[in-house]
Amino acid sequence: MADLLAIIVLAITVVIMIALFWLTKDNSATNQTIDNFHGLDVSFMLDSFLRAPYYLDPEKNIQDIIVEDYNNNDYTRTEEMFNIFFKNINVTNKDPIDEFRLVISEPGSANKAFFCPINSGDLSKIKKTYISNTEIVDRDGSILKLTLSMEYFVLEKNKI
Amino acid sequence: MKLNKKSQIQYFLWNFLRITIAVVGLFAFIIMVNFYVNNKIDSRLLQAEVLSNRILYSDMITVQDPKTFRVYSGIIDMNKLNDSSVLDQSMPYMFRKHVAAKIKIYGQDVQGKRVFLKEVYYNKEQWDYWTVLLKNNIYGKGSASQIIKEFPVTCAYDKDINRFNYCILVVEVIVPNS
Repeated sequence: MADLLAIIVLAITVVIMIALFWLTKDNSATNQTIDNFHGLDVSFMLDSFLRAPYYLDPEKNIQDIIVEDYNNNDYTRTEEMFNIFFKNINVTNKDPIDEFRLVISEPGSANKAFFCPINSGDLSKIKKTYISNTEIVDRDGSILKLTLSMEYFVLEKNKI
Repeated sequence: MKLNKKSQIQYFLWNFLRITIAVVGLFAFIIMVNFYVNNKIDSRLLQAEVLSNRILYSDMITVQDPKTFRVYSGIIDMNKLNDSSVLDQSMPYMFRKHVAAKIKIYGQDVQGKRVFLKEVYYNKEQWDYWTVLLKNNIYGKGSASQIIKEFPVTCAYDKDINRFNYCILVVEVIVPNS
């Protein structure tokens, strides 16, 4: 009788043990850390873009071109470079579609310039957004000029 | 041996005590294992992400200023990729079954289509082994997991970055499931 009881109790304990391990399994910390790494990837892309030399004048990089475009109030070259640089990039290589948006804004001002294939109709398809911000300064001084945000969207593929 | 009623109750009570102590011992074991084993984070993908970042931000494949040793992350030194063992030399490993990686560089033709330029492996022997498992959709502890990432980069063909083109860097990392 006691042996049977011992076996039953042991079986119950093992079941509780397995249940405890299964219940305490939590992916949120893993997902958060992976998200942080994706944020780093977007920062890398923004750095890579700003540091890239301009193909018509290798002495200048894209950062210089953005500042010049800002001073001329004409972002044609920035837009051209953004489209060249981020062509054919699929970050996750999975089902969702990746899109990028570059936002240029003046600190303290509502004026913004957007370069992206995302329009307001696509916003409902966005599954996830990663943003990296940086600031660039004019070469002739250390005055803060612009804030750049690189936004990386993961869109639902089946809705497009 | 037949026990009388009093002995049977005494025997049962002693066994009850023994079983209770065993259960307490087992639960103490569970709590200790839970305390020391972190099952909140799946470290496989983190390992892959860390290696991917190490490749991106180090001087393994990127342009480095010879005087200041400053690394220009995002600008790939294509001359470094001529050496197929550049990753193995930069990150020597003692244990082959730890991690494997591959980096691929694609350019773009005039129509905007991808053109393969170069590829370099890290721990190629293990990469070939794991790739077979992944291609055949073999899962489980004996198999591996893979991450693939793409980044827009500049490919420089000289140190002064006078000859360059805009490329796509594909980083693939495989880590074992166990």
